[in-house]
Amino acid sequence: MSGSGTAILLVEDDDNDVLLIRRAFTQAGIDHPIQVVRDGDAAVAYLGGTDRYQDRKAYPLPSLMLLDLKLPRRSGLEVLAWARQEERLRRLPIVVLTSSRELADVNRAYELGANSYLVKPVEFPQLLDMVKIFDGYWSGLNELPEIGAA
Amino acid sequence: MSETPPQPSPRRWPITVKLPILIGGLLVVVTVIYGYAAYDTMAHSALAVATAHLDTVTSQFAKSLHQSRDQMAAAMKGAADSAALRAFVVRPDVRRRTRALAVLRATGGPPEQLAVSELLDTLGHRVLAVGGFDRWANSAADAELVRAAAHADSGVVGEFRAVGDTILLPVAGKVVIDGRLRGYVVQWHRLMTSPESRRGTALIVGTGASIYVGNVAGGVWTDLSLRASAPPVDVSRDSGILRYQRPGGPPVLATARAVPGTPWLVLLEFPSRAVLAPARLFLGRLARIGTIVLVLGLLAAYAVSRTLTGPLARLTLAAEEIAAGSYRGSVGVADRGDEIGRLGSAFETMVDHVRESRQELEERVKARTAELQERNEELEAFAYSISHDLRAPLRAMGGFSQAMLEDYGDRLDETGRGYAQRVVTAAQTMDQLIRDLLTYSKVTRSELELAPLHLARILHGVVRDLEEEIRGRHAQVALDASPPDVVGHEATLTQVMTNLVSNAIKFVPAGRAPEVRIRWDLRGGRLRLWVEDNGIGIAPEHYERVFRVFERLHGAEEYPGTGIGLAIVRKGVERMGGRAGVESTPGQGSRFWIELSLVEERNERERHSDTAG
Repeated sequence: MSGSGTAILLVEDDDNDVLLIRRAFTQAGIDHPIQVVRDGDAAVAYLGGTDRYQDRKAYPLPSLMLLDLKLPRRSGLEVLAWARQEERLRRLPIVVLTSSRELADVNRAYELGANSYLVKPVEFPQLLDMVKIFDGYWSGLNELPEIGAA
Repeated sequence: MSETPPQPSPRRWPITVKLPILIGGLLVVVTVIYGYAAYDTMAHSALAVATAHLDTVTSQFAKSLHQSRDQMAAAMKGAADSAALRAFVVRPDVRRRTRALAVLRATGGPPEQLAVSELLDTLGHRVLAVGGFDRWANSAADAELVRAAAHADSGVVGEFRAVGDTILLPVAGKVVIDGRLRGYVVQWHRLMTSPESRRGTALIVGTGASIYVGNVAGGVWTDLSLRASAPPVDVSRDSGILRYQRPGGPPVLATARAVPGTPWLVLLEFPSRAVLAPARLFLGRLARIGTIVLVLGLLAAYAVSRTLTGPLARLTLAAEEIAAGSYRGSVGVADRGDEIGRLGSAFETMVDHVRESRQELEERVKARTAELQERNEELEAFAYSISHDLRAPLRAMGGFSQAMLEDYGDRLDETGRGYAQRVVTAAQTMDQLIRDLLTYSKVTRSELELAPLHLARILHGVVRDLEEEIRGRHAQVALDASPPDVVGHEATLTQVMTNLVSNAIKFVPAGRAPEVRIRWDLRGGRLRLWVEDNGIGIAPEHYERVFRVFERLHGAEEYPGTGIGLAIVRKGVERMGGRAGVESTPGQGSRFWIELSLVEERNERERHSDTAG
């Protein structure tokens, strides 16, 4: 996310959570555009550039994906597995952002190639803290790979 | 009461040794008893035969000696009554002397046997003599001899006399003329036996036997040719069977008999060995036969015991295989028709039953395990659902109340802001409750792999993680140095200790700075870890209550909490094989403790189970 134009894809079915995350991003002063899809199939369509997501101007390939695990249709873990098989998405940093603290979910996500695993805090101030640290890490410290090139 | 140490059981011999020993012993006893009885009977009868033989032979010999004596006496009477001798006694002149000497020389058998032949006067003085022996005189014996001759009608014989090796025997007769005793004729014969007569004697007495003749008064004994030593016992009294042993000779049976009309004894000796020879021969044969029978008996007993113990050994082996859990196939004794065959078939039936019930048991365990597995999965799905779905609305409640406070707080009055704040707090409380319930559920149902834990590191980690809370409450937490390592589950033990320390900090009266001390001691080979505080304390009647789920002693306003923390402590410690408890002085503080196994003890146990397996 070296530039302000690079997008973050948020895969989240809960409107409340979408709203709260957007609010936290705003309060943290992060100006990356956030693209939101509501289910696993939509995430796959967006990343694959199919259906209504063919226009890469309107729906740019993200530099990072925030992925919930519990999703309608295709689950987060299925999206993760699919993305890691796609040639162009192999390097895409994928951060799991979910409610589950179950060790089985954590282990499975890392096995399938997740780059990080975050649990959504209940309290908003904590969510805000988390988003600030997240941005500081992924935008400040971390070097991002080139996405989309085969 | 002192216990006596168990006595080591004496080592038992196997049947293959016991049975041959028993049968061999029986055979030996039977053979010995039978042999002794048979030998005794045979020896008795052999002795009876020998006795009868001895008796007969001795009597015969005595009789023949008696006949010889009669002949000698008659010959002597003839000589004493001869005209030539009488004439010389009446008027001794040279011519008559020559004729008398001829009579003396001619009387009494072959001349080489005649040692001396003499004519005595009534006083015993020698008048005439023929023969070379002159120095044997024993005047007392001679006097007795002539006295006996004087009273006898015919001639008399006297006791044997030994001169060197030569045995002499005297014969005497009286010379009577016109009714008047005028003198005596005395002859001494050398005892000489020809080879022919000795063979004859041997024929009569039998081979191996010895015959002796001697005086009744003792002193002189002869084997009928030379002088012999006297028997070692007095033989003159007893006419029965004698048993004795001459020096350097074999044990003998003997009989002695007086020869009528003489002062002589006949003694016949027969070696006992010769008598008992047939019995001994029989005994030797019996011993050889007995040995052969014993060997055959031992072999047979061994064979029989093998046919008995072979199937038993196979049964034992099969039973041991079953005990080890790996039996298959048959014992191979069930087709025998005897008792062992029945035992074998009963055994195999039992094995079938055991195998069937074991299979049945295994299937039931498998089914039950599958059922439990299914339930566990359901529980996990339920917990997952709670964890995910229940918390989403909470986030919304908390988040939007917060947003409302931040974005529209200036348009709300004090009460409105208070309500919004209450929504935020309630959401936080419920989130904590859900998280604690999930932890409790996890501690209850997940598999805990126990391992040696570095306790000091874990305790330091717990205190470090609670640092913020400790600082916020101005608390002091003291940690005793170097506790020993324990056996447990790291995440669970961390959770347990976090709950205890955080409780110790929390339940303190307002205005008192919490002072917490974590110390340890050893009890019965286990480690007891204490968390002591200076808090409000717990009344004894509540010691057990505090460890139950949702049990709380105080309102949430006073001391916020979900009431699950100590339930997690107790369940977690129990899952690690330990115990948890509390002691307290209300108003002054509580001392919570947990007990866990030491690492050394666990190693000890594993060594034991290794050797047992």
